[in-house]
Amino acid sequence: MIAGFASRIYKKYDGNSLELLAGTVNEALEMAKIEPQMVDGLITTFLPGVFDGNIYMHFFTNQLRQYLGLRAKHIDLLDFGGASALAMIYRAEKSIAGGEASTVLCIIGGKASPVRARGITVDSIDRAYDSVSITPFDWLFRVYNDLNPVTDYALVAARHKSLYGTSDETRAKIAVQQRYNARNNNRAIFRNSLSVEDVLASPVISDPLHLLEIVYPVDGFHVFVVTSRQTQLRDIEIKAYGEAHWAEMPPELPEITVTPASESSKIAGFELSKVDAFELYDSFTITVMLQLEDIGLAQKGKAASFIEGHDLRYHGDVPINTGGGSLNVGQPAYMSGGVILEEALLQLNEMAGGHQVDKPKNVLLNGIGGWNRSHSVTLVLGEKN
Amino acid sequence: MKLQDIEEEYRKRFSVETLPYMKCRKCSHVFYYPRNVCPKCLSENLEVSESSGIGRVYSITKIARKDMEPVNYAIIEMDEGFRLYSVIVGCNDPRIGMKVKLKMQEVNGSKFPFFEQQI
Repeated sequence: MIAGFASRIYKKYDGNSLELLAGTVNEALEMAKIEPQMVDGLITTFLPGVFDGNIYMHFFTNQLRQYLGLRAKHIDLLDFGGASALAMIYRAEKSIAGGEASTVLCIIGGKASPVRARGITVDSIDRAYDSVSITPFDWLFRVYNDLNPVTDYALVAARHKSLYGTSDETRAKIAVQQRYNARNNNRAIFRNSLSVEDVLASPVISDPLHLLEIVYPVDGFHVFVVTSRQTQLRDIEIKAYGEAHWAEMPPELPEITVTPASESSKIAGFELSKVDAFELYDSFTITVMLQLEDIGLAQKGKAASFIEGHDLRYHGDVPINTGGGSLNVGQPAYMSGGVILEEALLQLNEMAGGHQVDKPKNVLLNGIGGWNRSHSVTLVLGEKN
Repeated sequence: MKLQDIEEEYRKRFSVETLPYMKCRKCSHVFYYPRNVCPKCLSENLEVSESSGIGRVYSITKIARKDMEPVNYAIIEMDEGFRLYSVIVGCNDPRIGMKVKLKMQEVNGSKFPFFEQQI
């Protein structure tokens, strides 16, 4: 199972990405008490621009292993954004169960600062570099000066307001309660108290989304060590799992306010009343709200009354993003998956001092990936029976 | 049809200020973003149709821009049943559900579909 994990996160790391990664790998292996020579698997993901500004790295996994001196019997390169982190754990477990590898490093991260410095996002990286495509239809799609992914999520938030009467205050309450959870999380970069008024007073970036509803991309890596060896950590297993990858350009979806989390969570099929904490991808407040509905905590369109009627803080009745999420920890390399996964492991191992959920048995994670929300991974981690 | 022929046809239609879209002759699916196969049934039996240019705002966001006019970025649902991204011009406060009509605008020397309010 997961024998070790580590993260190193900076607003701006002054150094090379591979160097930052190497330090994080060392920390994770130390926790796992596993020698580097025992590692025989690697699963990771790559986004353009986040490895020291490289748009592409030829044979990427080979480059990582060259730097770290790692041979492998099993390699996977996933490409569904931050949601990849959750799938990495599942693929690693399967590889180990299948006898292909015995100790797999799952790696996610990079440096957002070089991309930020160019005034773009990773989903708009084609605006800064030639010969990068974001859709097969860029000549039609890129004509309109959008600001992906913010503008696409803003379109969903606007439609949710129109269809269901959801207010800006509802979304702001998610940000406020996550900030509350972050106040006692020493991994969080934003820890000052936050009110609904503060959120709604922050500048509107793309109506109706305000700045304080949007994640801040940072530099950092998360490394998870999945192994068949003995672990000093709690004996955790995957209780349920589901993946869903949709095909449509957002205008081609039947309804943009529904995400593939509606499908991945059904495939996972875990009883929500048995979940002690929810770690939900939080690139934006609206992302959390959509997953809340799509995984079944609330009916589609009813997130507002759910949020009114429940306490989402780590000691509340429905703890969500118990460490503050990437909205408060920062979003390493434009991917929130490592942040929510690390928080789940901190919770299950009773290592979440200051924001610890009381004796959690099961944590449900959901990751959304892609500027157009086309990927979802649902992962439930819990104590082995 | 080859994809490059479809794209060339789109450009021709844009240049005469019309909005093209794709129709699958096999399964009747309609779509805007051009492929040489139907994204529902993968048939290559497609035709390029012409939209009436009338639709409604499916969703809209006003993008704040530094030192520039804000942009009303939208998804428009056309009467023929397909949707596309576009921008609404000449309207301060477009709303979801608002009726719109095609208004071609030049971008980098070529005409592309934008929309304006249909009174």
